[in-house]
Amino acid sequence: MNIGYFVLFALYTAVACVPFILGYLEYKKPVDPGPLFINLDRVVTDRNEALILRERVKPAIEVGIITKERDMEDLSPEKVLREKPKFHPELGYFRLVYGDTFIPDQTSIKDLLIVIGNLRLGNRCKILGGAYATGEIRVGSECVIRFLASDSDVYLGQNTLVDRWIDAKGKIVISRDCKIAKVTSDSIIEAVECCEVKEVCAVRGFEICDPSKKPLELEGS
Amino acid sequence: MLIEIAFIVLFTTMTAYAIRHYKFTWSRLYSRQKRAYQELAGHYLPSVSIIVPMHNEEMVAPHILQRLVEMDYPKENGMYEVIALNDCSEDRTGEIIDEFAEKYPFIKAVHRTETGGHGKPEAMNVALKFVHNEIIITFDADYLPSKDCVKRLVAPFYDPEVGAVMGRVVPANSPDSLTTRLLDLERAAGYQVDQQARYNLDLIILYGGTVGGFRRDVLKRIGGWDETKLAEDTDLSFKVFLAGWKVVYVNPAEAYEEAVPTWKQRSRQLRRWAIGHIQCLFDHLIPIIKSPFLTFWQKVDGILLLGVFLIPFLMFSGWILGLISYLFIPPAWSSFFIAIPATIAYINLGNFAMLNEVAASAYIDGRKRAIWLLPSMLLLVVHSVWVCTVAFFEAILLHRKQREFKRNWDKTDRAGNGFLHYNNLRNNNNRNNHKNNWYKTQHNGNGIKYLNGGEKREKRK
Repeated sequence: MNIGYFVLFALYTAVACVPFILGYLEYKKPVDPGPLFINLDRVVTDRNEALILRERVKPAIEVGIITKERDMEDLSPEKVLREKPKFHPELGYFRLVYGDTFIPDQTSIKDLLIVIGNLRLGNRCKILGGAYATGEIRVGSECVIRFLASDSDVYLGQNTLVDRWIDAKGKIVISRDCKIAKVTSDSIIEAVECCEVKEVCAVRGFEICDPSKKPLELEGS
Repeated sequence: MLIEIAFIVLFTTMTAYAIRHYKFTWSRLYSRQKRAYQELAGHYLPSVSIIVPMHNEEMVAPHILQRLVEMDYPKENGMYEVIALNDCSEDRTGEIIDEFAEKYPFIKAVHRTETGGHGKPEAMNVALKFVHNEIIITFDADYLPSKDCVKRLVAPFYDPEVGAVMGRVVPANSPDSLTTRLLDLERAAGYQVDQQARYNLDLIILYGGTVGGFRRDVLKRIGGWDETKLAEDTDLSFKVFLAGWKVVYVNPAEAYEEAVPTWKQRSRQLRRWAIGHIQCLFDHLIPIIKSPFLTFWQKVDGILLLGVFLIPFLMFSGWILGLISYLFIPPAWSSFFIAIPATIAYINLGNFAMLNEVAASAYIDGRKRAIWLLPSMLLLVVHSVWVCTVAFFEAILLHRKQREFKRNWDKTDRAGNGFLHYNNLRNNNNRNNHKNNWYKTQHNGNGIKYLNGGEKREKRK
């Protein structure tokens, strides 16, 4: 054992102290002392799933807009729908598309589809991961969809099945023979003809557009 | 030779824990997160009994009871009941409970005056006799749950295989002292990363004794809380798993707690946890290995989880051995090859793996400069090395006379600061009306600093 060991030890100790300086500064002049904010007044609403989805999708959309503005990546529907989906821990596998998008007839997409723009689905499409669009969503007939969320209006074609829910900031128009578990809107919901909806919640009300035909079957309120 | 063997054992154990920590961090950051049946929150509403055991809790009792009164849950037809148990309190706790019970029919006041006072598990078992509802949720008296907390916690019980749930705990009094600030980071890692990752990976979820719940039938079948255990909540978690039930971690079910503000209180708390975990390790090690219900990885994780308080003791041994090798053994291949890499490895892998979880949780929670305190977490590590090493030997001694062991309330003194900090934070949040501004404004926003006594003691100019 010689003096070299102790010199080395002292040097190591000095270097090891460096990271503590930042901690000392934050302790003495706290900028982020917490506590972590929890909104204790929040409640579970009828639009719980839709609100959670919007929160989760928000960062992806911001990234998409920045990426597009800086020409960093091609987010055109043709390219995105052809390539492998991306992954995010909170969203799972998803496809982010920039611009108005048309999904051709009989297309099947397993992942969450996020569209910055309007979305139009052809007939007999299967969107098994759900879809979110910042613009309007128009769905063809006989589609099968997990869920739909839009910051604008939603139009559903005939005989479409929505397994979970539809949520829109604008109005929702439901065509004949549709089957939907839950429909929620910031605006108004219009059901055109015979369809089956288990739960409805709309800020401005719910309308059956053609009461002379077979009425809407509502199970619940 | 003995030193080399000791190093190899230490290195292997620390590496196992390090891999586990890194795996958890990876899972939380990059894998698909399980949702804990949250799509059913608000749709599945079974009858619920909330148990709140209290022993000298006058500082915090009104806050928790008020939160439970305001809870967003249907309260008609006995669907929701609060059992507030006053266990031999010597302060105003009993009166406060009575005031609430008179006002709200769903709050039941239970007073124990002479026979009680033997600790939380015994109080919980007494409260269990008054429970009528299907699901039991527990809160400690210093907790402030969010209004949606119960709806979120009960949602997983829709699955008939789920026997217990656990929610997330967030310290409300983190600005109080350096201890609370470090514990704030530690708790965030423990829940936001560790518990969620264990849930993602289908491993062992730990019920923390509060902000969690059970099916009443399951709890009665496994015999309720074990009054001889110092970590009765850990014991209960393993009993639920060993009985073949699932446990679910519900990250969005959040509640504020008061973290211990001083190192002395932290030592007491840590000692209790360490002894309790080691007790559980002695009792459950063989049943875990033999269990037909647990998967291989659940068994591995269960053993590592129960042994987690042995790590500080192992680290302490490693430091001593490392110093001996470094300073006193002549430089030969053994000391050079084994001692230095092993010392560096267990410090880097072992300690830093845990810190990595803290960093990940701070990132997920959107914390900013709080992360600057990360190196100071080593203070917690050094502190826990000392406390847990002593607790390790105490646990071995205690194990011999466990049958005669009768515990008392070993509770942390509450200042009621959590509620003040939350109000302070909410007011500033509303005033600034900007989601990300809270961390900039809440501390100095109104010029008031709340100290440990709970009163407003200092007004800044």
